[in-house]
Amino acid sequence: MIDLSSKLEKLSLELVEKNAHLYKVTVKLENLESILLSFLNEFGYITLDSINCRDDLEEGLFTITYCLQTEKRDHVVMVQTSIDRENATLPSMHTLWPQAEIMEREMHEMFGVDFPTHPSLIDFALEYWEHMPPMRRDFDTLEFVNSMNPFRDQRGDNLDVKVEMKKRREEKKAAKLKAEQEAAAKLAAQEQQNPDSEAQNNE
Amino acid sequence: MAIDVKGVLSPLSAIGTLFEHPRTITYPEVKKEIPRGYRGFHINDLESCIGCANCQEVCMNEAIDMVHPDREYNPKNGSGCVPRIDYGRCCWCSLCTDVCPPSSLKLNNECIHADRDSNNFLYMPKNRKDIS
Amino acid sequence: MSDLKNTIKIFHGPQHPGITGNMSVELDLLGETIKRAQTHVGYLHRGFEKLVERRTVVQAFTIVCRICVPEPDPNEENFARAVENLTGLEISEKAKYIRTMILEMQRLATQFLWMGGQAGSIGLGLIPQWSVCDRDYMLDLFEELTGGRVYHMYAFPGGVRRDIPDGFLDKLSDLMNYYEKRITVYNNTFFDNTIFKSRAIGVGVVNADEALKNGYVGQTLRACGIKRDVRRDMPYLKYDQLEFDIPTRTEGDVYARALVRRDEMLQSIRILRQIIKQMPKDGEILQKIPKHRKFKLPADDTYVQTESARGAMSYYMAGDGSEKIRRMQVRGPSLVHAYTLLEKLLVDSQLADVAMTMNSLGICPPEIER
Repeated sequence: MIDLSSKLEKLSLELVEKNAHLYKVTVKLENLESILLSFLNEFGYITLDSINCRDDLEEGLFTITYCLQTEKRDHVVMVQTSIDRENATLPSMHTLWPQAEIMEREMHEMFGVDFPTHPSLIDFALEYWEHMPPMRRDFDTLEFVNSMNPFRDQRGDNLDVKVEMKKRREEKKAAKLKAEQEAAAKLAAQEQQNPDSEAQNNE
Repeated sequence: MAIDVKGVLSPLSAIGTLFEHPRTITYPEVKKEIPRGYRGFHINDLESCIGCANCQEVCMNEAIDMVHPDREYNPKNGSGCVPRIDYGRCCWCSLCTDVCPPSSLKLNNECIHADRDSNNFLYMPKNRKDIS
Repeated sequence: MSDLKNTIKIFHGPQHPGITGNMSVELDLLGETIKRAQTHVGYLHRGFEKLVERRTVVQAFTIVCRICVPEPDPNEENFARAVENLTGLEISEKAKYIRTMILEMQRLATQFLWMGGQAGSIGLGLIPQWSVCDRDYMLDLFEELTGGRVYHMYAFPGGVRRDIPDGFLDKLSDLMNYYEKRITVYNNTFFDNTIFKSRAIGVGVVNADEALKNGYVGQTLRACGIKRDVRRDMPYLKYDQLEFDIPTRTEGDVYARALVRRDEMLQSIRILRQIIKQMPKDGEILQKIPKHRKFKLPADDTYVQTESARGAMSYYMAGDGSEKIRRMQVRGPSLVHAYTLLEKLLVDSQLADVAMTMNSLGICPPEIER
């Protein structure tokens, strides 16, 4: 890997070793196409294993990771870049690796990333989908599901355990208090009775 | 084209299996033995359940409701509630039994449930002693 | 496109002989010859990747096995290993052996199921009955080891969830002897069968250059002479200490892929026998890990690969410092096979060969759309 590392240094890129079989390079979007091209043609990374997209909502970015392998397939290099989340556009890589076509089609559907040079941006798994791309993190799955399917209505008797615990503790406390009061009252009553009886005894 | 003699004749060896003992069992009469660690229906020893709702919290399918039990339970139960499981949602991953502090909630090897009414899928786990 | 004028359009699927799962292939037929094929998925989209983002790590672990129904264990292994990579959890020797064992057991079970599908798709009705029965013996062992027949939920980040029950290894050893005998029977009735040979030889030929460039994996790659196996190239768990061969063929057709699979079954038996011998008697099986709300992933990402029974299966996983997973992406072997490869292979082949070709590529639709 020192080999690849020195080659990348010429392009002023740093190769980060994650573990024995995994390396990572972070590149800028404008250099992405040329760097991937040199990965394919010069460094011999002939297989594109996958294109991964991660939604970093807080930073307003999509992080795209191209996972590449050589002919030997003994390690993976992750080439990572970030694109703007709002009008996400990426160059299509299907001319370099044919399988990118289908991965990009999926990414377009699930994240709404646009590929201007892609030959077939048709539906992948979701047909007639009208909402926002579902894998974006601001798409609320729970709300969507609740709007589509009702919750089983026989389960209304579910109790909140914290509330129940508090209630029970208070009940116990109240019972204890009551018991104490009763005991005190009893004692007081006894004490009231006792002087009389003592007086009677004295007589 | 030469005839593939071996390829024609060797599949006929399957005829020999006609005289073998069948591998299947006659189901309703003979039942398959279910091993001890099988993840089937829940059992809950109410005399040790403490009503902590850890099982409800860890359940990713929201299958567990905490309800008041209809039979005798642990006097030390902090909330007076015990889990009831919606078998329409349960996936028998057994995470609820892993997080149970007194290990009262368990899975046993009973696994057949049929009913006409879907409400009966809300399953109140039985006590261990009531089963065997 | 002028060829498509007189064609008939039919949909092969979503329910069809051939593969487990629902996927349709839109075919343009000229007589019996396919002129154009287009894959359609979407019948099994359950949104696992999205579901995982809403759950804590511990909760997410129970649904990854559902990503591929006939083969859940490579998914669990990938998930567990990705979490271990991110958090730096080390697993014990014994847990490593158990996980290697369950992966190999799963490989055998999957190959038996595949054999049923492959034989069934060309009309050899006897083989599916036999092979599904043989697979059931393996499922019985899974039941004993993990508590579930199909969804095991066994390989947990940090180890495995249960210890091996008493007498389990003896049972496994007996089953291996039985399987070895059975494979000779399958050789006679299926692999050497002239019906299978005359149907499968020369159909669905993949050439080697294309296979590497397009990212094909597994038997598709090995059947055209390329010796690539994640177990050997990027050894994980105990695979660097176990002896096994990687069977290859050079023809690249359906028959070659079938033979490669058969040879892999024998190799799996060999690996399992070594594991039975080497399995440590005692040792920790599960690392002590934090409670599910406190199990946090660092803000980092990783990529793991496991050799499933149908080829390399990869997971990309990223955490963000919270207890939830920021992103988990699955790249199964089926994605490229079902689209890039299948659409290409079916052109100019016969309608009757569609199911057979599909099956020999090891396509598993639930894994394409997750």
